[in-house]
Order: sequence, then C-alpha cells, then structure tokens
Amino acid sequence: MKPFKPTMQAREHLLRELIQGDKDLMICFAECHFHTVEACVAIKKLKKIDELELFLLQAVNRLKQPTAESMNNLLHIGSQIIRQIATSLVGSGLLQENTDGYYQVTKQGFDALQSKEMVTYQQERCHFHFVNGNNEFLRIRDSRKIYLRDLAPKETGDNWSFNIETLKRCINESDQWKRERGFSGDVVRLITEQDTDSKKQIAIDTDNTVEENTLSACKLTKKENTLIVDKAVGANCAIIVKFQDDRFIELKAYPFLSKGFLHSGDQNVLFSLNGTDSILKVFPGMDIVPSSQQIDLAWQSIGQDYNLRNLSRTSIKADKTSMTVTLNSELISEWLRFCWQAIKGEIFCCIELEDMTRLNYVSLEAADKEANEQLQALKLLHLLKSANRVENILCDVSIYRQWLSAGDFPIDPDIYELASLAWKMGEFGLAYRLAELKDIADAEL
Amino acid sequence: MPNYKINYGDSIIEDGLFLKQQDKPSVVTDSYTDGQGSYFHHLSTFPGTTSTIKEEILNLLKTAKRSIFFANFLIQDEDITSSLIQAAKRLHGHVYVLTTLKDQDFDTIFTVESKEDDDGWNFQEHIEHIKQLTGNGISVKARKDCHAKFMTVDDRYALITSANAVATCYSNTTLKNGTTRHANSENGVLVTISSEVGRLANFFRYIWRSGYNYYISPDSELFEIGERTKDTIPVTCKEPQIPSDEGEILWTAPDDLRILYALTRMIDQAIHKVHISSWVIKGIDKHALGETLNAAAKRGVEIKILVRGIYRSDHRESCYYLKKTLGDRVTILGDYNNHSKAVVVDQSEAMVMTANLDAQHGLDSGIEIAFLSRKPAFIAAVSTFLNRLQEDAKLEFVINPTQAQVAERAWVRGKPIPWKDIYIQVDRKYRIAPQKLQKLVDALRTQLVKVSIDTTKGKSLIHLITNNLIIDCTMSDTGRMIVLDIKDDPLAAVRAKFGSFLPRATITITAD
Repeated sequence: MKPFKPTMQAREHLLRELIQGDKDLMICFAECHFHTVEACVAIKKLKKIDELELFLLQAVNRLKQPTAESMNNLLHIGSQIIRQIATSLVGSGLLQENTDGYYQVTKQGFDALQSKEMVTYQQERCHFHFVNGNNEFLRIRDSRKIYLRDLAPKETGDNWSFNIETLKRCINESDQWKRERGFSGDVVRLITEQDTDSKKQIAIDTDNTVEENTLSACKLTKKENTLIVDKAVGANCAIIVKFQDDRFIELKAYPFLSKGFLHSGDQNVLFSLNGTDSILKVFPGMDIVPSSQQIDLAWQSIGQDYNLRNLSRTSIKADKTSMTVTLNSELISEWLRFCWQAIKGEIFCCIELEDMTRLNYVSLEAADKEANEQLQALKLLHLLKSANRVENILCDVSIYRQWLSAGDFPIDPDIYELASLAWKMGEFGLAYRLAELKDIADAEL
Repeated sequence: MPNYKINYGDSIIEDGLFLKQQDKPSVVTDSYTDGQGSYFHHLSTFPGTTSTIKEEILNLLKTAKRSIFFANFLIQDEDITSSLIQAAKRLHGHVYVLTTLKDQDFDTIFTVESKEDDDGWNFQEHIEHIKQLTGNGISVKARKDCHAKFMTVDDRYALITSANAVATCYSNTTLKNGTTRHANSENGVLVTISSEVGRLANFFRYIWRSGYNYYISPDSELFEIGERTKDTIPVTCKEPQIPSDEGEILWTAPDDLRILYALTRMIDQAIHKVHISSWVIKGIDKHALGETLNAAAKRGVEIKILVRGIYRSDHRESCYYLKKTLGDRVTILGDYNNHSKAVVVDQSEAMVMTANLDAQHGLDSGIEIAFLSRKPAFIAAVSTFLNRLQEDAKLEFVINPTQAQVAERAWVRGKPIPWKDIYIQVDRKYRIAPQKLQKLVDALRTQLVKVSIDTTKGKSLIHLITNNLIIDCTMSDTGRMIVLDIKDDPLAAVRAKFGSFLPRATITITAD
C-alpha cells in the first residue's frame, strides 16, 4: 500500500457520495497493489445426471445382483452400452464394481439418486488476488467486469514475491474462513504438472508470458511443479471504514479513476473486509496514532484550504479517527463558517501515514465557557436542522421547546439569536423557520 | 355624391373630459412641508422634489433593530432593494417581504393601476428584484389580492403609502425617448402609535402565517415559486380592544371592509367639505359610496375630488356620473401623475390610504390599508397635502363640452394643428361607400374628432378618429385631405392613439 492524496474537490465529492455525514465512518486513501494470481485449479461442480445414467443407477439400486447383462434385461439398451455407462459412473464415484463383477451404488451414488445431480471436478484457470506485502487474500469483485479493467498493471519492485503456499493454504482453509473472505469454496486443489491432464490446461497465454523479471508487471513462476502467472496490478482506492468505539467493523474499498473521482454512476465496492483483525492485517496503518509532526502538517493544510488565520492560537490533538481543535470564543467568531462545517462533519484533516492517507474527522473543543456556549449553539442548530427535516418541529414554539427539553441540551439559546446564527451560516430557510417562531407570533396589544 | 360644408366646433359632446383649467394662475409651491405630530409624520412625493416617502422607508430599513415587515405590490426601485438586502445582512435575516409573485395577479391589479400611462411598472423587472432579495437570504411571500403598500419595523413604526416601490413613485425619471417623466404625486404616513403599529404588524403576521398564496424560500442558488393555496383567506389577527385616541389603522380584507365603512361614515357625517384624492374613481355610479357622496352634496357639503386626468373610459364614466348628478356641488380636478389616496372631511377627520375610490378593487375586495385620525395635526397635514395637489392640478373635469372647447383645452401629447378651413376630398378611385361617407359627415357634426399623424411609412398619413370610425387620409399638394379609406371600428375612440383634437374649422367635403 502506498498513500495518495486526492484533491479537496475529490474529497468533498467522496464525502457527499459515501459518508453523508455519518460520524461512525472513516475514510482513507491508498494505492493498493495486488498479486493477481492466475492458477489452474480443480473446481468442484454439480452436474445434472444424464437420464440413461440415472436409469442405470436406479437399476443397480433395484437389482439384487446387478451385472451388465441383468441390467440389460431391465433396460434393453445393449450390454455393451450399459457397460460403458457403468464404467463412467464408477469413474465418477457413483458406482463401484465388486470383484465378482456386480455393481454397487456408493454413498455418493445414493446422494445423486436423491438430488439427480452428481459432483464433478473440472480444471479451470482462475484469478486470485492477494495484497502485496502480507499476501492476504482479497476477493476483488468483478461481477460487472469493470474493476479488473480499472486495476492498472503496476511495476513490480524488488520485494515482489508471491508464495504459492499462500494459495494452497487458502484452498485448505475451513468453509467458514472461505465464506468470511469470499474465497470460492468450490476450489478443491491446485493442479500440478504431475496431473497428467493438466499440462494442456495450464498452458499459459502468450500475452501473459513474460520472462522472469523482477521489474516486470507480469511474472511467470514455477514452484512445486505448479505453473502460475503472477500479475502485478494496482488501483487508487477510497477506503471507507465503519468503526465503533475503538474497533473497526467493516471496510469497503472503492476504486478511483485517475482524476480522483469514483467510477461514474456506481458505488460498487472493489473489495471489502470484516473485523478489526482482518482489516488491520491488510491495512496496519489504520490503527496508527499520528505523530505530532503529522498532525501539525495536516492542520497547516486545513488552514490553507479554509483560509484560516491565527492557526498557532489553537491546540490540536489527534487519535486514530479524529483530530480535535481547541478554540477560544474569539477564534470561533472569526472562523464561524469553518466551525459550522466541522460540526456538520464536513471537515477532515489529511494525515499522511506510511501506507495510506487517512482522513480524520475534525472535531472542536471549547477553550472557555463562552466558546463552549458558541459551539453548543452551533451543535444545537445542526441537530435542529436534521430533526426538522424529519418532523416539523419548528411549526410551533411549544413543539420546539418540547424537542429541546427531550434532547436535554446543555443550553437554551434565545430563539431570535439562534435564528440569526443560522442566517449567518447561510442556512436561510432554517433561519426563517426559527425566526418566525418569535417574529411572526402575534404581538400582545 | 353631394358635397358637404360642416362647421366643426360648436357641437356639444355628451361626455366628460379632463380639460385644462381656464384662467388658472401658474402657481409654483416651493414652501410645502410634510406635516407631523407626536405620533405621525406625513410623507409625500411631488415631481421634482425629494420623496420623503422613500427617505423614510430607507431610514427605517437602515435603523431597524429587530425585524422588518415590508409589503408592496411592486418592488423595482434599486435603492429599496439594496436597502432591504443590507438590512437582512445587518439583522441576519428577520426581513419579511410580501409582494406579487404571479404575473396573472400582477395583470389583475395592473388593470386597476395604469396601463395607458408610463409609470414604469413592469412585472419582469419586479421579479428580477425579487430574485436579488431571495438570493441574498430574504424570505418572500405573496398574496394574490394584496395591493397595499406598507411596512412595520420592530413593532414600533408603521408606514402606509400609496407609492409602489418603483422609481417613478419617488422621483422624476428619464424615459427611453430622453424626455423627463415627472414623478407621481404620492402620499403616505409614518405612524408610531404602539397599539396601532401592533395591529398592522399582526395583520401582516397573519398573512405571513396563514393568509398567503405563494412563497419563495430564501436560497442563494434556487429560485422557485411555491404555491400554498389558490384561495383568498380572510384575515383575523390579534387587535387592540379599542382604537387609539390618536388614530386607527384600517384595512380592506375579505369580509372585512373597514376602509369602506369608515369612508362612508366620514362622508355621511360631513358638514362643510369632503376633499378626496385618488388615482382614479371607478364604479362609483353603481356603488353605495356614490349615493353617499350624492347625499352629502345635496345637503350642501362641498365635494372636491382630485384624480389623475387620464382618458380611460371607466374613470371618466364615474366622474361624469358625479358631475352630471351634482353639478357645481362637486369639483373634480385632475393632474398628470397623481397616484395619492387620501380623504379629509371638514376639520374633523382625515384618512391616508392605499385604496383608490374603486368599487371593483380596494373598497369591496382586495387587501388595502389606511390610517384614520381625528387629531387636528394630522387633519392639517393631509389638508396641506391635498391643497398642494389642488394647486398643482392643471385640469378640471368638464362635462358636455363643445368640440372647440375640447380642442383648445384638452391635455394631449400633440399640439393642435392650426387648421381653419379643411377640404376633404373623396376620390372615386378609392371606392368609398356612400354610407361610410355619411357616417363620417354625421360624426363630424356630433362627435369629437381626434387627429393622429403617422409619418412612419415615409409619406404622412393623417388619421381622423371618431367614436367608431378611423378615416385614413393623405394630404394633396394643394392642401386637401384625400380620403383613402373609412374603417368601422366600434372601439376606435378607446383604442386609437392620437396627438390632438380636431380644431374649430369649416370642413368642406367634396366627392366626385
């Protein structure tokens, strides 16, 4: 993984599209490199049993001493044909032939009689994706055949290596492990050169054949008599992580186009991960608390983006997911719009870590009582805006008061002042709804 | 066809017209000052002077401390618009604008207002100003029948005026052709009686809460007119239990005709004089108010009405009715740009209002506002304003004038052509039907004839316009009018634009 930092415009677009003000989500950006391993594997497949095969199975099951001849007395299709079919069924493991020449239905055969299907094994060339570095398996979703195209070939570095044992381990993992990671449960084993039929199957396309070269994007490897193609691909990803308290719950990675925007018209996930352990295995940087130097750089960058002066008059701290800025009342007044955006959850700072750029939420803290009241008023305004969208709480002053007391807010600002504050924040509609509670109530005469 | 000789000029026209007052000395009143008292300040616009109405509106917008309720039928004045925006910025909102948002509502009331004049009222321009307001964070609503122009500020000040927020209502303006268009005569009053200001503010509040039809949410990017209801909703609001001694705010609203009732009562109680100013008077001949005026005049009350001296027929019909019924007991004066609305009865009561003496809109329907007071200072202020209007009035309404009187004294755009002998030739080649020629002769003998000269097509065309004919003529080298066509047009007198009336002349018509 390598960090990349999209433009502010791209970040804003992302926040709008993916985050939508959810404060339990974190966003990171990384250039993800994958081993796209193309390997020949045996795949377990269910096949509908042919009618003749089914008749034969049923005949074997019914007869006491089923031989090719006795079955022909029942089926009348010729002993030779029956023998051929029986041999095929023996090969598939549905029948077995006794030493005395009688056929017998196996357990698999009984299952097939029930389901009218049989298990077959095919050899196929499949793609498996592993994160470069720790070789963790990742299921890249290519159901619409767009993401593999978006993954551009990447130059491989000196440390580029993929151990075929990794794939073998995955194949041998439990069904639960496979389900959790989206690894196909039908892949039974790797085909090796020793498999007599496999040589033809794993012949490598000339397009993919590249001589061994550590700097190439495509690498042919022979290990343990197994032929695989290891292609290096990469994509810029926006990574959205859902977290709760200190734990990462779910990660979804979205591919970026070169300009830093999501692929137009879709928000399909390129890959996803579940659980803190899995997430941290692939993205260890997620858990890193930034250094004071990294925090400072990020804060300077915000100051530039939002044209804030007097940055040095703040104190800043950061953890894994947020950056907290402590402000006095004077700075709040000066940076009112910035504060409003931060309270709405629209401001993030870009912390550039070793393997990713992480956007930490910017949250505000008050340095004094007056500053606290100002921030509380902005927070109240934000809650009011959301609540009024859902239910019309500003239709009447008593309903507003009820909502206020139900919310147990630490402050009860003057409605007139709150309306003015909303207007200053450019929330004209909300400002008038609030102001009307006072201005438009009949005067006592 | 026979020849005709007609002495045009002596026939009496059974109609009424605004004609220039005879022997009226040219008075230039420089000493006018708006009257004021402890609870009011009278406001005005006169041509060529600074409008105290606009001054006071701007002052109120600039000094408002808490909230502004601004109602005006039209908002096209740059200063007013920018002051509303500045006020919203200073107060962080709290500016509420009630106006017109639909062109059909504009058209409905615009027929009440001036279409034939050059007041510069323009809906598109108005909407551009509204876009500026909402784009700068001001909330705007509309009530479709609201013609009133008023504002209240901080529940401390109320301003009621006849003036739309349009440049022509505040100052002289320059027309497209480079000529100066004199400002309208407008009036208004600033009221500071706490309970009455509250009454008007509550009236506004009710409309804002529940009595509006359309709205535009304040938004810097989106301009969208939303509709709340198509109904016109009655207005009920909290009011003082008894009116103030100093005066009372009144209104016209659905099922609540306080202005009409007050006006009728005032005139009923008049002993010496009733002085009225209105943009036009309309429908009075079929309205109880007409009977009230009649009754007052018949008991010896002097009725003096000042209106704009325009030609529109519904206006002249009401003037004709009053003048014919009351004769010298009523004086109807006219000026060129009056738009003020006020009433003074004796030295006992005066009222400044936004309603015209219009039976169709303002007295019986719509939303209008007025301030009525019996206090001498207020009566004196309104009287002084009306006196100034009367001094400036150049026109008087004359019924049954002769053709010559109209030609000599009518207020028209063009100068009368100094014709004495007019020769009209009806040439066979233009195939003028004898019946049409006869109609022309009859019209010249009994009707007013207007003259319009059209030079747009290279050669001068002269149009003679009677009540229901338009006669197209050209002038021959020998000075004869050659009739090209005589067209029937039942609405010729109403529709056709003209420069002057035909002067007293001997008209000879020859037909070959």
